[in-house]
Amino acid sequence: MTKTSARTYSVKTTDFPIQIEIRARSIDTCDAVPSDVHVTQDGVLVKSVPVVVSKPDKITRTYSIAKPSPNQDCRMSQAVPCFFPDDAPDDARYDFTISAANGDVEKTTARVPTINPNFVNLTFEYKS
Amino acid sequence: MRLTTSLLLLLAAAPQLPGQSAIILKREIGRLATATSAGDRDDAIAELKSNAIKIRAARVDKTVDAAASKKQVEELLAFRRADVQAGGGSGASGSTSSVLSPLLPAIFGFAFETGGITRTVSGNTITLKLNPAALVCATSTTPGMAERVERRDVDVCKTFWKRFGVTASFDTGRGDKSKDLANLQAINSQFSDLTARFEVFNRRTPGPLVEFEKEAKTLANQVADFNATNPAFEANVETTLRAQVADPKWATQSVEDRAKRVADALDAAVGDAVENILVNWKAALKAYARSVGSKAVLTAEYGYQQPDLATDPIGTEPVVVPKGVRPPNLHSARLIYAQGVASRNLDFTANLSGTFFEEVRPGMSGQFRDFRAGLEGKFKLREIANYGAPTLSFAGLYVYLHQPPLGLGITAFNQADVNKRGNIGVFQTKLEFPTANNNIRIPVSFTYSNRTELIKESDVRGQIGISFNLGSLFGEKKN
Repeated sequence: MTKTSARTYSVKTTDFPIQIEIRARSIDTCDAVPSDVHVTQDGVLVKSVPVVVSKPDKITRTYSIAKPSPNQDCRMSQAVPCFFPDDAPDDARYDFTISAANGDVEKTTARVPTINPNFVNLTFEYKS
Repeated sequence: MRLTTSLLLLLAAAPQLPGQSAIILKREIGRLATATSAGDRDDAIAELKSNAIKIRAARVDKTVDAAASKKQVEELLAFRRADVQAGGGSGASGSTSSVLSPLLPAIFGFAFETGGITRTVSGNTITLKLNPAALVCATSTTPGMAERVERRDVDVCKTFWKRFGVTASFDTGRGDKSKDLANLQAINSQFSDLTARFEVFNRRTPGPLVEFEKEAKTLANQVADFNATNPAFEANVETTLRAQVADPKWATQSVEDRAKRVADALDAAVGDAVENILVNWKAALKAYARSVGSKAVLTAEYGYQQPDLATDPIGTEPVVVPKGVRPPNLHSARLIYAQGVASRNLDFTANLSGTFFEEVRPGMSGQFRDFRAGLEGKFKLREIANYGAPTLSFAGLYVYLHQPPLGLGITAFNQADVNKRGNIGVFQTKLEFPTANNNIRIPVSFTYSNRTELIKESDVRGQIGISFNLGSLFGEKKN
């Protein structure tokens, strides 16, 4: 898994499944809601794949993204709106840890937005 | 967020589109403008890239809502624990509550209280509270069922009968009666009160949370769909932002100038409006607000009460009044309504009730005995880990005695004070301490009243109690 631009990653077969952990910091609950994974080929939406989100505790959400099927080049987009409480301190944030199966790890952070929610849009460009 | 009000005003007032990004992404732009390292700049660009869609969405409608936080849902749920009425009502001889809370323990509760509020004879009251349907559900063999029932999980024990609860109160030790109550004696029977409750509606359930997650997912899918089918949008935003930062002038510009140029660049880069996202954005925010807002609870209660006094014999030969004549039993109907202000950790509870004599004795004007109206403001204080949230409440209770409180049949034996109808005003302040993860609460209260039911003299009293939420006994054994 290689980061190619902000929140955009080039991925290959050995990176799957991609494990994503969202952890809330300095706030009591994780109010991040991941979308389905929208798969496009040549700019055309071919399918949406739901993700199964686990809630191991109040501040953590985890889920994984499976390898595209059929195994063809594609672009996978996901949006994760992250909601913050009114009284969130300035250092409140959601830390995203994106772990590829081959051990690569990328991180990104959503901080307190001007207006709820703070979107974290992730894009995985898959080369079969 | 805190900018909600100004944002609404500004957006509503702004007739032109340019400049929206400076408002909608003010914080995010500020982070880029103040970033001092490459890493900070990358983080700020990533945030702006993902959130530029907001500018485009908001171009459709300038009345973008802002939201509160779902964290407050958790606080609300914790607060609800302070909405549970474990003890007796203001009419009991031992009570710490001049205003009743709207909810009963989820399964089973027990309270012991000492000190009366409107009753003239103070005493000790034990109150047992039970939700029979929840008890049946909690005793099922389904793993985890009891805990979920105890948590008031709406997805289990889905029966209409869960809305019903029953309460029984017993006076375990009646205190000394006032010397002014000549010819009256405290009766020996310990049973004093039986009530049946029905939860008319309770919006303090996880339902709004589920609705929020559904709406947020719809919004997330719309944004993901937009990004999937418009890959150039975010790429263009990122290219534009990196061009600003890479400009040699950037390093010499003030933070304000940087912010302005980023805002202008974003305004120019984001393109036309996308209406569908705004619609769902607003829906998600509204659902979020609903999920975190303080919801209302309305409970209706019927009560049956036995008097705590009976007559001493009057007269010698012939005895005019025999020993042990009791006033009529009482029936009451009460509405309990609670509405919170989550942003203030404040919950308001209002009580309205009417009490009726079971029978009309000679000389009585009818069955109607009294009307009560109470209002309480309860503040949730800072939560103490493993204990719960203490609460501080202030309450006022007004009682209109339409008839002499014991019924006219008794008045002849108490010449002046007992047979007075009139108005009772009670002011109460109460501090409630939680412990054992909020399963035990210790209320301490003080009341001032202009009179009690039977004696027209002002009174200052202290009350103390302890209540147990015994539902946790039904939970799973934890190793």
